[in-house]
Amino acid sequence: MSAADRPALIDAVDGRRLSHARLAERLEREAALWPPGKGLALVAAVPRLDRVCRWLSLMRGGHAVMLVPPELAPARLDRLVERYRPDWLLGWPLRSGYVGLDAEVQAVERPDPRPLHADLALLLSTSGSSGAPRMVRLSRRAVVANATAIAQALALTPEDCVATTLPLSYSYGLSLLHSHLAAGASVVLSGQSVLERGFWDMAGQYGLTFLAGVPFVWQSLRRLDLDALAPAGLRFATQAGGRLDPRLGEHFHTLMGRRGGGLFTMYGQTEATARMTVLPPDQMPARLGSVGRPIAGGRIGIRDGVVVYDGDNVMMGYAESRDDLGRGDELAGVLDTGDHGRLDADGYLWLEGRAGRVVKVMGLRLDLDEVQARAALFGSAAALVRGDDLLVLIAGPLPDAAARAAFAAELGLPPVAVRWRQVAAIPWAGNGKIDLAALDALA
Amino acid sequence: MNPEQLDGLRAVFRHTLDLEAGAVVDDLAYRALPAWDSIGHMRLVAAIETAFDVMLDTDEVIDLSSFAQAAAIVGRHLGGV
Repeated sequence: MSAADRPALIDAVDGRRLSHARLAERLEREAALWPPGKGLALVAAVPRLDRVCRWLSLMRGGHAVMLVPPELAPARLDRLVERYRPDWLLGWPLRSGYVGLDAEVQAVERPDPRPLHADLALLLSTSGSSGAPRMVRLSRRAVVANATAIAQALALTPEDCVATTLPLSYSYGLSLLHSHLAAGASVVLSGQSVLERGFWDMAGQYGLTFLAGVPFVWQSLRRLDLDALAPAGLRFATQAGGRLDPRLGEHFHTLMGRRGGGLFTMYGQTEATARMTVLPPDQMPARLGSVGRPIAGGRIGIRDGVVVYDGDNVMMGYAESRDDLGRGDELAGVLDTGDHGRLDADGYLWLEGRAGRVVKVMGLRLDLDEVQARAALFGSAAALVRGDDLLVLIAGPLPDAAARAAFAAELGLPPVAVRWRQVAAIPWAGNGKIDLAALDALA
Repeated sequence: MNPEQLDGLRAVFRHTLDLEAGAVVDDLAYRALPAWDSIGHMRLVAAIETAFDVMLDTDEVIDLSSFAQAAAIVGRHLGGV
């Protein structure tokens, strides 16, 4: 099979495949079908073949695409539409002010006159916690640069195959798609989790070689017999999306090592499209705990203990509304990550925690001060992270189940990821932080 | 499982998935509601193991895709019908 005949996309639901050659033809053809003049599409990032082709064709045609989770709460969708006035909605129920073009696409009746910057290609959310729906503005150049650099860092070949184990609206999940397509490799579009039998049937059927996970995935798989579940050709694991316990890293590196591969530990932010550094398996276990060296074209510096990244994949800037979409590049390729870290003598990065009160829960970045401010609706409140969960303390009666579910949905989290505890009073320490010892005494 | 054990399993599902006390759970399946995602799934597994003092193996964890499946799996462990 020639490289162009290898599958680019495989839809796990109906088994349809599209080769790299056919995908290129289709994107070319579909790009020409969108109206002239640059537009913004708000897309429900469903991992299905037709949906992915449509948004790739928009990007190919020079339009801007905002990818959001298909299960987005209606109130949050409303806010995005009000704020950004998309020219097209893809995959959402018909709304007023829009007219249906076909079963999936609706076009705005009165297009917003505010311009979209020529370089703007992709808008991704950094966080589920933001009251204002803040987006990262990414240029086509940044997306292409990052996809190419990741493909190189992972040494992807046309024989490689990965499944979408993470949401495509999430920068890490989307980077799987872009980097594998850039390498001529295959991407299985699947909505199943690694905790479902169907996922492993699919993994064997399509011959996955890579498995992408965040710390929760590895924690879950640790108690399962991954060696028995995974097809023989699956020999590489990629880890990103938060700090992984080094013991888990070692475990999965060893497991994949026996299969002739290993673990790639990566570090990135949506503000850098997806990835900034990669630690390849050949540095394991010697550099276990490091997140590796910058990807091709990237540089890392440490300024006052904080990691500063420089590269083509850095965002143009943030956006809060349509007003910001006409703006050009405001960062000139330099990103202050807010993460603390140090470089060793060989240039490998070791992270040492984040500045401020920004935390990661389920791969989502949350600002605890913001979460706390929201929870204050229910009474005197404090927010912290305990284990893998967000813990909200309320000095008074807890909100009912419906209100708790709505609160979690507003943050972009499943209800079970938010734990609630009623306390007599919030145990503040003098420094504005929660007194954890006092908290444990209350429990 | 006997009726008492089945009720116990229902309580585990309601508690873990943050449902109301009287919620019907017998027809629940993986991903049928937002709380039963991969995190909810691992919590269910842990809660079932604790409540029934059983240890689920790999096949059981990935086959536990509905309330009915859970009842069958736990039932096998408890040796009843």
